[in-house]
Amino acid sequence: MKKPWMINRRTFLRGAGAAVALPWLEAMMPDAQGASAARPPVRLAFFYAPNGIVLDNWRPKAAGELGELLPILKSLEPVKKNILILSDLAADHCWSAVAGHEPSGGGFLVGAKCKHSEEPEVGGVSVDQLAAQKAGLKTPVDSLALGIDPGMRGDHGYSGTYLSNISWRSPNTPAALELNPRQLYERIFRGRTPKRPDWNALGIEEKPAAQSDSIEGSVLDLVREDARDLETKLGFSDRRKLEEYFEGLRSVERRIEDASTDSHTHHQEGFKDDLPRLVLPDGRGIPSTYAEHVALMLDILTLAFQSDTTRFGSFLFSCEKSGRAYPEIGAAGSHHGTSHHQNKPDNLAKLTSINTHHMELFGRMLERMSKIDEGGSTLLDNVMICYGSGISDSNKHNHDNLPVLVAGGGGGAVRGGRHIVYGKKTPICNLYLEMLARVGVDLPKFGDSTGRLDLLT
Amino acid sequence: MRAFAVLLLLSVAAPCLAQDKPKDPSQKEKDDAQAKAKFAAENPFDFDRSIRTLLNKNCYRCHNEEKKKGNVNLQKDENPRMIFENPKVWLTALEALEQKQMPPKKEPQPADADRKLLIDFLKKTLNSLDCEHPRDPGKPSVRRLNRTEYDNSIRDLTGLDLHLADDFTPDASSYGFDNIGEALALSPVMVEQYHDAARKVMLELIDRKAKNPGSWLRVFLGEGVSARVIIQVFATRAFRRPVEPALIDRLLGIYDKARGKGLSHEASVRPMLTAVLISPRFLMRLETARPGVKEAYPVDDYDLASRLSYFLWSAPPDDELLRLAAKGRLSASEVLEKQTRRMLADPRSQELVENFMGQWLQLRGLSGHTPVAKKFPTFTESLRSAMRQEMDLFLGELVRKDRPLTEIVDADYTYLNEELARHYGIDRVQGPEMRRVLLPDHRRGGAVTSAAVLMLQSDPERNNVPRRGNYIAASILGTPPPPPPPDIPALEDSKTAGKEQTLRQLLDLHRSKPECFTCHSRIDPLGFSLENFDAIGRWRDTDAGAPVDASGMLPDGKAFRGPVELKQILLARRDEFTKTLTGNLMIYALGRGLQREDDCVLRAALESASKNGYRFSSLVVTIVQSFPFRHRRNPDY
Repeated sequence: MKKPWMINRRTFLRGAGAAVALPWLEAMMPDAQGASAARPPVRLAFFYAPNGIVLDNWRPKAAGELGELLPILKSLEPVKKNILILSDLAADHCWSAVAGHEPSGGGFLVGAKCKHSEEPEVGGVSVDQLAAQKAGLKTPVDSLALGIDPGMRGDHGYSGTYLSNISWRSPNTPAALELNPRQLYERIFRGRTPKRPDWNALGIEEKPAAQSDSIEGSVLDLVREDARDLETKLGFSDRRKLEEYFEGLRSVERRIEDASTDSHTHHQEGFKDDLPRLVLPDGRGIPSTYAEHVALMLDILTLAFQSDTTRFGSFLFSCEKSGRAYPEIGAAGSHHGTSHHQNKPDNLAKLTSINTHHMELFGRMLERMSKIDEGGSTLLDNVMICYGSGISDSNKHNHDNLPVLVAGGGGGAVRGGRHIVYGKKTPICNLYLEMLARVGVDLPKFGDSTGRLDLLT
Repeated sequence: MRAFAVLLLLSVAAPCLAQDKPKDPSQKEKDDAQAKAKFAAENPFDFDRSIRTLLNKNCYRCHNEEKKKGNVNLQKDENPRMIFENPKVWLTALEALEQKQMPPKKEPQPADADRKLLIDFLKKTLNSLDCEHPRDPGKPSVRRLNRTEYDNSIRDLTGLDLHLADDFTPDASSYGFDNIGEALALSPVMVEQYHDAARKVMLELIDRKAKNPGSWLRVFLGEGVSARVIIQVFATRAFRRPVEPALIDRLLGIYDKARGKGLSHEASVRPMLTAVLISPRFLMRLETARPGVKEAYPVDDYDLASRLSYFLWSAPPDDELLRLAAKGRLSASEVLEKQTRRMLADPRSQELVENFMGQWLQLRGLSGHTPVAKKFPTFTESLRSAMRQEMDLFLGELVRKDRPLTEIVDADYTYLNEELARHYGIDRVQGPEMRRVLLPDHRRGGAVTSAAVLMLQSDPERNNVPRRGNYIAASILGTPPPPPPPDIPALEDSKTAGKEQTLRQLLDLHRSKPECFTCHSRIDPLGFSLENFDAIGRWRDTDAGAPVDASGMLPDGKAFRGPVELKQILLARRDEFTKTLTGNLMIYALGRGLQREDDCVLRAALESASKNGYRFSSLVVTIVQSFPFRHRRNPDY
């Protein structure tokens, strides 16, 4: 609901001349109670760290206000007030009698068990994709599923898909994992400069795209009609693939329309040096080092949130069970191998370095988010990011006492700076249920949830 | 199956319904029961009418989806086919029924006749593998082109080798391969990627045509050929089969529309071709169905051509295959065999090496494996590249020249350049180019003792004995051990205070633990026999100052030592090796997991191999000629 006295930013700009970069105007701000139209929306993200985490170097000794952070979390000191460490959450659905890692990655965000099969089938739609399906249509891109490593080979009768994906559009279809920053950038920003959103314009109805008579439109129409004919000849599981195909054609169509008309009405102006400009490497567009690759992917995610290009994302630091070596930080052996640490100090030290390295890259992103002004609040205030692993200790393959933290203010829902210890085996799905509620997706249950996780008290 | 049973039910029930309408319910029940009994007597093994009732009464109460008593769920196998596919569980059930261990004593027991009926049913069902009359080619699944297949298809279609798929979303790996129909999902982002890629192809093809004079299509486009001929040729090749005239007309409609808007001939061709490149007919392998047919039927010749070419070349059929398909001759057995041999001998079969062998032998990880530089300063990028080329050339010769598949285990030649030769301790090779070299002894030769495999099955900083052993047990012999239990006890658990122990002593200790013994007694000896090779595959006689002990004893008590004797053991078990290779090759060829009926093909391949000196082609030809490769059935709607 828009208040009548609020100046529509677009109207204002028309008078002032669009070339001028404007500071945020108080008159455009929502009142203290947060008028819905002008408040930046909550954005959700889910970060997955594979092969468990050395909890001794993560979990604060006591519950309550955060004191000095332990080594793995040390890099979060500057944004500590926006961090909630959640202890004793469990993901029973990650357990399997025959494999430790495979169902942990694939099932983590789904909240139900993965089928023991080489033909991948998880127990439902993952939390990020569910949010995107219910609330993602307001932005040009419904969600992002980002990663670094190409797929893994499965083992013990599980498809490699389970190790390589955490985001699932349907039980059989993982959200397409994007690894190449250049291609990602080009796809989501469509060759245009990302713009600063005008939250005051959020409520404005978009005009339905005019029936276009373009040649490109005819190409898509033809292909769609032809595929409809094919569909009748296919079996159930193959028709599913075609449904995804049609959805893809719609995305292509939207971007063609966007190229001619700015259908995303609340975009206003180019960013003015909030952050250093993104530099996409030449050639294929993939940075040569792991850290630079991660940082660039997270910069693009940040930019996608900042410009309201999407509101939902997931990020995989590496595949579950990944054997990636990190010689650059003194952990040359296989990550998975090291994670079966057998309590050897050398292994624990290496594993801690890997965990810390991931966290530093995450912390860097949070710091950048904390510097992005969204008109009285920062981007960090308006995100809610779950960071965790489906395995607690890779040496034991246990799925309780998980390392989980929530970063960001959740649009005011989260009071950070604390360590909360829940009852043993509180389902992590309770957290997902709470996060869904924060973006307006109210569900009675998600996975094995027993209720919304209480974060405020 | 179930639909069939319902039909039967209707046909049996119909006469009762037609008779006297107002019938008292108890009489109707009696009639029903009688009809049921009569039907059961006539069809004792009918699952839905007889067997399921018995299972319901005697088995499902405990062994169901929820209770899974003893971790056994019998209810999930809903028909005889599923029971047939799950022999491990049902053979146990059969035994328990025969021994009267089940149902448990304290539970109500079935009548002897019922018990016998169940036993007979299970025996018949589980032994119903009938290789003379194969029936099930497996569940059909549309196979989306994977990244390699996409790139090769674009290359063959346009003459442009653009590698656009490098940046597509990675393909899922199932059963160890990235071409499995059920795992190759399609999601909207990928359609955007295909659309982008199609634009890039058009850009290269038309706008930048001067830069690519080699493209046949470019020449074709430049010669004033009519739009109809262009689209006819392009779509036929792209869809790998003749295109219905109506679709050609619709594609031409796009061209006409563009011309109508004043665009040039070339600019108008572009959207027409784009439509082809983003069509599911190009992006997926859609096979022609025969609506209404219940049984399996032969795939049509064009589909067979695609099955063959994507299997052996990871690419679309070439002109010769399409020509034979057009004449309906490809499916003739002798033609099919001749084509298979032609394709194996063709350089394009290198794709089978890279994609099939590369995944089966797990060589694809080579570019991502980096030995610790401090420990292995002689490792260089050029050495890595030579390791890869060795395998490409060696396995390429095996495929193209049709060498015996046992050479994968042991061969008396390989391909080396100076750097790799020095790495192997061979000093008469000079210069950077790879060449065929006869080996002085059997320590090298074959994939198992290649630097590539030995390095990849090591950790970056040291050897990994169980890992190498597991590789041989699983990939070569087809007997993967079950996963290790979680919370593995630390190797130096029982402290032998202060005493430095060798890896062997530690693993001996490990094997002494009962939870570790079963598997490690099988895999460790295999791994130990390769201890003369370090973590980058160099030969060594000592390890940390002590002489290398490469001896081991297999669970059957056979003692052996070193790689040469390991190879002898593997060669003695060449039937297991052949079956493992065939099974993997079949999964790759069919794009699906194996089912029990596929055993028939494995047996036939083994027989053919042993008659033909284990030549690689004997497996490929057997698979190509097999029932599941040449047939399909309609999907479940």
